[in-house]
Amino acid sequence: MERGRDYSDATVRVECTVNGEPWSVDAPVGASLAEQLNNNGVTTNVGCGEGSCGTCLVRVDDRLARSCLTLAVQTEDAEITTVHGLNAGAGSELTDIQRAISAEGGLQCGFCTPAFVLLLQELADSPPRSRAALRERLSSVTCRCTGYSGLVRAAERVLESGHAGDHIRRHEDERFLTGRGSYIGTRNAPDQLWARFVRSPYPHAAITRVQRDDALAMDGVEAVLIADDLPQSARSFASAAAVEADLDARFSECTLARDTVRYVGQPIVAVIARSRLVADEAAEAVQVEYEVREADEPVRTRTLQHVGTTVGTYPGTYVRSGEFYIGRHTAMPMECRGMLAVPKADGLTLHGLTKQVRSNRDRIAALVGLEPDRIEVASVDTGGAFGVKGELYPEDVVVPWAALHLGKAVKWIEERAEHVLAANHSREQSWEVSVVADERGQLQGATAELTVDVGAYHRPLTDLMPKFSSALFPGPYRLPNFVATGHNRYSHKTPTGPYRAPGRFEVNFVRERALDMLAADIGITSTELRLRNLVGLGDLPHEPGTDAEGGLCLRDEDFHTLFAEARAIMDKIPKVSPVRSVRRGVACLPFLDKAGVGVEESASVQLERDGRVIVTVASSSSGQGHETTLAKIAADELGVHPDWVSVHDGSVESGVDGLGTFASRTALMTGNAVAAAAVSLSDKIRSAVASTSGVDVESVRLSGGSVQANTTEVAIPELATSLLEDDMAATATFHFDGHTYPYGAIVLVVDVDVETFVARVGNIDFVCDVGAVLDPTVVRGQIIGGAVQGLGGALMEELPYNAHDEPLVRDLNDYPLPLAADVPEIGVTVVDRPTKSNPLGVRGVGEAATAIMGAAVGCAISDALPEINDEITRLPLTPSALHAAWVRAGSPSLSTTTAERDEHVWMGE
Amino acid sequence: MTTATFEYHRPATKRGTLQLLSELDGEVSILAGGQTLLREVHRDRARPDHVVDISALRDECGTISATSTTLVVGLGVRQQELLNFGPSRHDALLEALRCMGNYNVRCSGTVTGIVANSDPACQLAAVCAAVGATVVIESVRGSRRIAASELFAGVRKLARDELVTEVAFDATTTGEGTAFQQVAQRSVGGPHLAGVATRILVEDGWCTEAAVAVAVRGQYPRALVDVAGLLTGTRLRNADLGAASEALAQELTVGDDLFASAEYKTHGLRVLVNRTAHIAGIRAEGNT
Repeated sequence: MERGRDYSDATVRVECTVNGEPWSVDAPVGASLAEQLNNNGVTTNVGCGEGSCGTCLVRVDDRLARSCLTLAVQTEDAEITTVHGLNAGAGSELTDIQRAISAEGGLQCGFCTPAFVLLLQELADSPPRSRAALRERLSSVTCRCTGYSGLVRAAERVLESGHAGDHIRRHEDERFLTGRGSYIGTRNAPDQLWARFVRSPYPHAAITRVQRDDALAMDGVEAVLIADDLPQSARSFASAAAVEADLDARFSECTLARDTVRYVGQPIVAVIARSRLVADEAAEAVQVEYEVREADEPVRTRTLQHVGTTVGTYPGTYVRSGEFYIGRHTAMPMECRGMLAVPKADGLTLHGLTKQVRSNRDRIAALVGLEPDRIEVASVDTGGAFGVKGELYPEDVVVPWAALHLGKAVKWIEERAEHVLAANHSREQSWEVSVVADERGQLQGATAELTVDVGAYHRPLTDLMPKFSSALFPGPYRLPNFVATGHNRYSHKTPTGPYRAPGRFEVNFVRERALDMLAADIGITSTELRLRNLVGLGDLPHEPGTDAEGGLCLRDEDFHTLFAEARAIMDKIPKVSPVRSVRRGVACLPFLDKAGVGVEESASVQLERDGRVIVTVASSSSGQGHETTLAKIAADELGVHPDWVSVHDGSVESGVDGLGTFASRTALMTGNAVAAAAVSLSDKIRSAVASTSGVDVESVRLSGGSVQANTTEVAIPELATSLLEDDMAATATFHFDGHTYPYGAIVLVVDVDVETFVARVGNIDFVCDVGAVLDPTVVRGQIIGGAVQGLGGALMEELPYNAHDEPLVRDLNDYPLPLAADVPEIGVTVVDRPTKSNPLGVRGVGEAATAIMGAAVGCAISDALPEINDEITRLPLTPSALHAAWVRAGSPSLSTTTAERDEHVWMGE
Repeated sequence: MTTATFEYHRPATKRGTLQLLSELDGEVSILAGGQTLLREVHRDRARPDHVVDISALRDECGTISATSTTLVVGLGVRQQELLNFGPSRHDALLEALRCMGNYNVRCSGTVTGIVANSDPACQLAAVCAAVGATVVIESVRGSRRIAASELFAGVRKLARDELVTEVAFDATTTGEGTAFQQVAQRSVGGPHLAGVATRILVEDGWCTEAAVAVAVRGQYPRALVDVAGLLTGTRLRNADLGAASEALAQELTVGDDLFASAEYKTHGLRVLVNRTAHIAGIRAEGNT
């Protein structure tokens, strides 16, 4: 992450104490403490390298310092403590704070966890005076996964009771809490080279010349690669995108841009050098000459959905038309992308693949000219992905090819400034919608024109977002007629791909806002309108007629019960804010999400001779806790303790296969595959025991860590020594053709300062049905973390471009993410009721909360400010955007009921 | 290779620091709390030949002392230390500091460092302009005192051999009150959209003196003389505050940025002028 000039010719001897050990190391004078620690085996996760995110906090003497902003030479004589120093000595116990974080679900991907451990330690040493002060103190570090809720509870647990919690909740937790997460940043190979990319500074330009001699002449530079250096197979990135044949694009994406660049950040040259600093220097020495071009932004149009007939308007019906806009967002995981490619005798080992590991490996293999099985994928811990990380990117092709070509390991770690330009963006959609209802408020139909700013190139999943958006337009409502037309606009912005709740975050906002406006036209409350159209049990099975990789079909979704529960919560909320200039608004919305993309996923479960169980799957975790949840599934089927079970995202040779981790599909697809494999293994074991002991197989049971047959009982480890090899492993494949539907209702309170237009979200409550709950803490963590991510998109996150398609966001400072102080209390009520659609009965839980947040925030704000209801049409609703909506509405007077002025006019107090 | 490097110095005393600064050639950057310099180096906005780390001077210079008229904050005092010290009669200063960075940043960043960096849009700039603060600047050539607002406004600059060794904030006197407020996208850590510091002096319920200054991106912290003038001679009733804040647009032009439109910033500043004048007025009444 560290970017700087080469100070390597000026090293300084630094003597300090690190975790109690005396250190004496030569540091380049410009090196940061983070670099220095990482270079000497004390892993420190750097999220931004610019002092924004705080993941790199370490204790320096009496305070917590951002180690990316601290010079190593500054720490002369200092006493440095990292998270590794808290548990010195093998086998030492985790601290109370570490156990509390685990017990409360205060960690997911683990990337920011070391920083929060140190932060909570500091809190314990100097406790804050209130919960608000606690949240403010926690706001020194950004977490993108948890929504902070578990961290707040962990801090309170330690501060109030000193009781830490008895056990470590997830298998993953111990290594994350002790700074032993194995992220790509910590992976190194002997004599590895470093890659750095030279990127376009222009939205659209012809490349007229690349001058690389100066860079090549630099000491330590091994290669300076341009498009023509790549083998023919690797030059076209578009081929990897498997673009639909009907795409009439006037351009196709090159892996390294050759003649043209179409967005700021597009890679053109890859510099490979012996050190990261030299690679950075050499990249600066590469001169690319450009001829700037005018914008060329073709639009491709097609029909997305056609349900029923195109509706006309009837006498006495209500027609509400509106235009809506959802801003450009990105996932912004706290860990940037990265890759380490290590050549081996017959191919490559790749570290750093995530999400859709198998298909990316296959595509990379095809591009660099290897058979897929010659690429071995090493599993890594992933510091958050959220749909954006783990898509296939040009860098993922260049780095492996460079390693093959040079015969040496090549490592690439993306900087945050690159990430905001080069990792997929998402969302940016413009809608023109007409919704028609009869005089009783029954929806008759809708039409939608959806324009997606897809960015410069068509990436593999570019079409997914408009497809999902339009397919979910009906939501949980009956909508007999619906036509949606999609327009892809190929602008000069970063290409787009899926980001948590792709398409659904957008469409939920559009639909729910349109319903609010329609309700106002009809003269009924929004709640009444929603109730009149909500799909009821009597409507089931209900096919809305739309298609999202298969037609939707609702079979066992009880919207009305959950919506009623949510309304009961809403009714208890005081509608008046005690603060003079603040109006309170409440949204109560039913929601429907779709999850799970098939088609199949396999898993194997193996019993080891020592009685341990190994589960091998094809999906990699990026913080969701697969090692815990999947272990529990296998443990339940085999009747053993979950601690006996370890989960591996298997090498390709393991024989398990599948698409990976996305679309909230892991519990459904991988979970069911693990369950099936475990059942199959259980059957084998029981049969073996039955035949050796001469009993009926039905009478053999596996439970409590042993096998019971009639009156005899043998412990699994003992049995394992005598079983045949064939009876100790089973592989199963789970097929699923269709979707699952997490659903429920949300209540969201917002306090809007009618003078400053600052909106702060008060309490949020979810009442939802995610099917069977495999692990309550994981489910809760996914809902709350997803909600907070959606909250960011609703209120503050945006990637604006200027009129020339130049990006205005260049680093993390420019893209505010929610911090602990921005996050309200979030209540989660989960109906633990298995759906019949799959054996485990799960519906998927990763995205539903994210998906509804834009709608809930928008509707709550409009509830607070009914005068400008018609103008609340854009996300994010920043103070400036809300002010603009008020101006568009004619700047109506926004009085508040409590007229008395007092000292507490400022909401922040 | 366009390699730049810098020499790192950590002098142990103020005297030694001043001597060093007088002798160094080339670009010199001073490293105090360390929240700014390395970020600038990474972004290639700073290419120092020498980095002078003055953290060792904390013991010698890092004291806070308060009298009834002045709060003197020495070099090396961290922002959170000053907040914890919590001096009375410095409401705007404390309110502004609380809005800066986050707890962790304030535990490293120094008060004199903010003044020496002189970011014109920062919260403290508005406080210095409206409430008043004096900077002590030293070099081997001697010492001088200038108004802090002149540094923030870029009217005066530090010479290359000079060090900010002290900032003295004016305390409110009888009948005087101050306030700072801002609007930001997040509760902690910005982006800061608009901030206003106001000082009000009242006598028998009448405002006899007022000062108003803004902290907003792309705008030097200016004392808004006309706005303050409209407050002076009034009883600070709602209509008076409204009239004064309405005048802001004539006195100040702000631009769009990626977080907020110019229209919003102007609107927000008006609201904040209104609010800070109201609160400072109440505080002034209570300050007897």
